[in-house]
Amino acid sequence: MTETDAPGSLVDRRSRGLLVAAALLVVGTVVLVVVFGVQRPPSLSTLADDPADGPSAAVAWMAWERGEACVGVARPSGVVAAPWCSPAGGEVVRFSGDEIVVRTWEAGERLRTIDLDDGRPTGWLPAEDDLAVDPVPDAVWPERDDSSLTLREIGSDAVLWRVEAPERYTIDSSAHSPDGAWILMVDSAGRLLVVPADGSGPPRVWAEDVPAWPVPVWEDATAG
Amino acid sequence: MRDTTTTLLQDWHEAGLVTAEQVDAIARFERARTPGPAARRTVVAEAIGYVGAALALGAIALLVGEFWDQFTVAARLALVLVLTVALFGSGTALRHAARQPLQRLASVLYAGTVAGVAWTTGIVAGDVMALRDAEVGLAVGAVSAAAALPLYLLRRRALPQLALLVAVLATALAALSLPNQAPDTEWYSLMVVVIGVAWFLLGAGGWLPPSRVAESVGAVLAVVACQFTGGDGSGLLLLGVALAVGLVVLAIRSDALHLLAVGAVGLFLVVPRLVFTWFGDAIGAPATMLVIGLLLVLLAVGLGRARREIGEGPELQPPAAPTGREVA
Repeated sequence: MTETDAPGSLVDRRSRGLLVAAALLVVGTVVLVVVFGVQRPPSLSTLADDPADGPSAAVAWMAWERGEACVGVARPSGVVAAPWCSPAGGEVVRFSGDEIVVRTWEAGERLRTIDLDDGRPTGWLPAEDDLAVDPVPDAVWPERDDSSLTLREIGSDAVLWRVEAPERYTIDSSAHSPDGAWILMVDSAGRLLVVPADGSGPPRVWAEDVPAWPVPVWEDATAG
Repeated sequence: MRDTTTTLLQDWHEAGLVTAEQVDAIARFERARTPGPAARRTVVAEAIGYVGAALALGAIALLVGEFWDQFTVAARLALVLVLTVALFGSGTALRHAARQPLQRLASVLYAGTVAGVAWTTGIVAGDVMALRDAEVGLAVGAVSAAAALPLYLLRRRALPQLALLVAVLATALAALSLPNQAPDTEWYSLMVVVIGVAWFLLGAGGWLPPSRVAESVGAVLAVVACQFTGGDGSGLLLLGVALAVGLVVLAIRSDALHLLAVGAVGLFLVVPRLVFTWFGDAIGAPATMLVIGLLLVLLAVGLGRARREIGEGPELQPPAAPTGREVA
């Protein structure tokens, strides 16, 4: 490419044209990416819109947020709260009445109980208590067919949901409710979804920014 | 420079503007100005110096890395800030140095300043503000670009230009990763291709001196990025072929060897992949051989057209006296 310095010459007119061309190319690509490239997950209604037709048990998980691991609790009413956080990190083990048991790495690996109403730590569980969390079996498996995603319940093969979705959209983890009537799922967009186990309705969004692992824990009303 | 002088002298002599004696005199003058063995030893010494400095910095980095986790956030921030300010101060002190090695060192120090700004931003965004990884990446890219741009405007040389390009690329790719559901690989590749093409256009248009660096780096970026596809990827590979062919054609028309090199290498990289994507293992190998053979022919034509840019050898040779023409 040859260049000249003559003012008002062909080079001056060409260089402005190339500048405009470069700018248009970048702007056009950005528009293309925003319109076609950014993968939007399927649009769903929320559980809070109609909580009466929903699960009767709460769900809890642990998520890192700004340098702290926080307990997240999603209630049957659709309300989501983060009652307790710890910079040491941890994992939700189980519900225990009005409290939640958390495995934490504060001062070594220990179990502590947290009051769900005010987020106040209420105590430590005896060291002989089992620290292991049983692995939660998956409840659904996703199938892709061109641009559609089909979710089937493991065991019954019942179709729970079929939806047009971007290629990389999927369900990362799932678990049955204790009564077997509901299935919670965490999708690749970080949304906690809940769907009837008989496939009688579409999934609804229960909470957002939920990590897929460890799998969120259901409240078991029969457990102490 | 010597090859350009040879070309010009040949043209002027053939046009009857200068005599053969004048061509000889100019050639002798230019040979006298060309850096001799002493200057080449200085360049070697400079290169050895940079290698030594890189080894020393690497050793320091390993030592610091062992204790990094034990530093508080404030200590890490202070250490990196001091380093960044030192690099910027040193670069500024050498900015107007008369000797070329010190000028190059100033460019290296300014590039290091941009790296220091990126590191500082990473500590603030990650450790202090505890942002998500994609948000940290975006902050690092954007702040680095904001630091690299004025440094480049202050010093329009190759290294500051490359530092600016890297910062722009980092910003764009981090922005793509912001959504919870990130785009497919092809979109990342397409963004890099577009930035490469835009860089090439800005270089060709005189907006990013040195232009040859901007053209070469932009072209390489665009062609190489087309390789990174997911799934079938034929679309991007076809785009890569088109870009490489365009570079070769442009190089032939404008005698630009740097564009010919990028275009030719690009064709050799992209075309075999495309052939195997389309034809698989069935006729992939013979088809690839056929295409590469044709590419070699094309390259030979291009090299023949760009022969004046390559030059005839290390010595400036005066052109043969024309026949049937009056010499001034």
